[in-house]
Amino acid sequence: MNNWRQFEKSTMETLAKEFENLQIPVKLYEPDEQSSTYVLVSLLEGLGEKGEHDVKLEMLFLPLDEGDREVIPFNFIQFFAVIKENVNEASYEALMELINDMNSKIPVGSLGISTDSKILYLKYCCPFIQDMASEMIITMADAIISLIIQELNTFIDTLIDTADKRLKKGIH
Amino acid sequence: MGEKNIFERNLILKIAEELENVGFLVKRFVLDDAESGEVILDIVFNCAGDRADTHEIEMSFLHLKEDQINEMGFHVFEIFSCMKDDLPFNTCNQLARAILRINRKVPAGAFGIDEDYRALYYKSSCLITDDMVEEAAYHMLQIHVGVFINTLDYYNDVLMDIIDENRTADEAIKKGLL
Repeated sequence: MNNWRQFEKSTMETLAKEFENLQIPVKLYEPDEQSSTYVLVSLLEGLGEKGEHDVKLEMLFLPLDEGDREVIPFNFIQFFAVIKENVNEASYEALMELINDMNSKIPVGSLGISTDSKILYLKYCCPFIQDMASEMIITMADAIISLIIQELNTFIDTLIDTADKRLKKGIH
Repeated sequence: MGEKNIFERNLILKIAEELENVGFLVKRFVLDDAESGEVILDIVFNCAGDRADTHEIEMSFLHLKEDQINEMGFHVFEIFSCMKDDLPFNTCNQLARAILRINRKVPAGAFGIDEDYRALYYKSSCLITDDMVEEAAYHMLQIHVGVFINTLDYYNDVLMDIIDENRTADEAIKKGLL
């Protein structure tokens, strides 16, 4: 296993342990035929004003060519929160207006709709450098996770209501 | 000026120097605030895409007081570029479709449309934790600035073409540009 693979593996294992320390459900998936990278999946429970929304948070290193891995001393971990799946296309217009407004305000990350998979998401990518110490990886991850949770708590009710067409554009 | 604000100021001035060394025109604005002494950079990027469009890029740390940084445990470095304002009304829909595709792919930040000013912008931010030494933090910012400029450069032409009605978002998708 070359250094990069080892770094990705150890970073994901470090993050998995940190989620366990924070008592957030988490599972680490090793590379297989379907995915060439380690994927960490956790569940952020009880989000929103009434605590009724659970959000899947997927984390993985962005895919890089092997050639690039040899020369680039860092890679991005993508933190991808699935806010809602199977978003109805009829709500795209209202959602896009809302997302546009929210993206101008949220301090870190961005909201969007993946039209191929019909997923409403919040995404943040953070560079992790190959010689980063475990303690720094943990501190970065803690800061990112707490911000993601805070942002989701602030916006998730309005987003889901709009996606479910309970709210029309222009009201917010 | 507190220790944390000095840390931010040193980082941003290093970024300014590096950008000047590679040929960017950089203006430094110091806010008249005795407590923060905040520095904002204004960079001219005059060769975006094959069209060689010119964009101004603003870089700064999120304006936070020392005790706020202590409480949160991190700093937020923001980069913002207003690419085009006064967008033609009839292109906004196509632009929004293009932005939706692009934002799913970009590793940093997001493009958006400011509805008040009818302006296309690209915005990104980077977390720097409070315990990072200056060298590590600077490296993070270098990466972040580099990715921002490269992304702006990469998507400039297709977005400007849509604004100029040279192509639609659907045409751009079919050509593999989005």
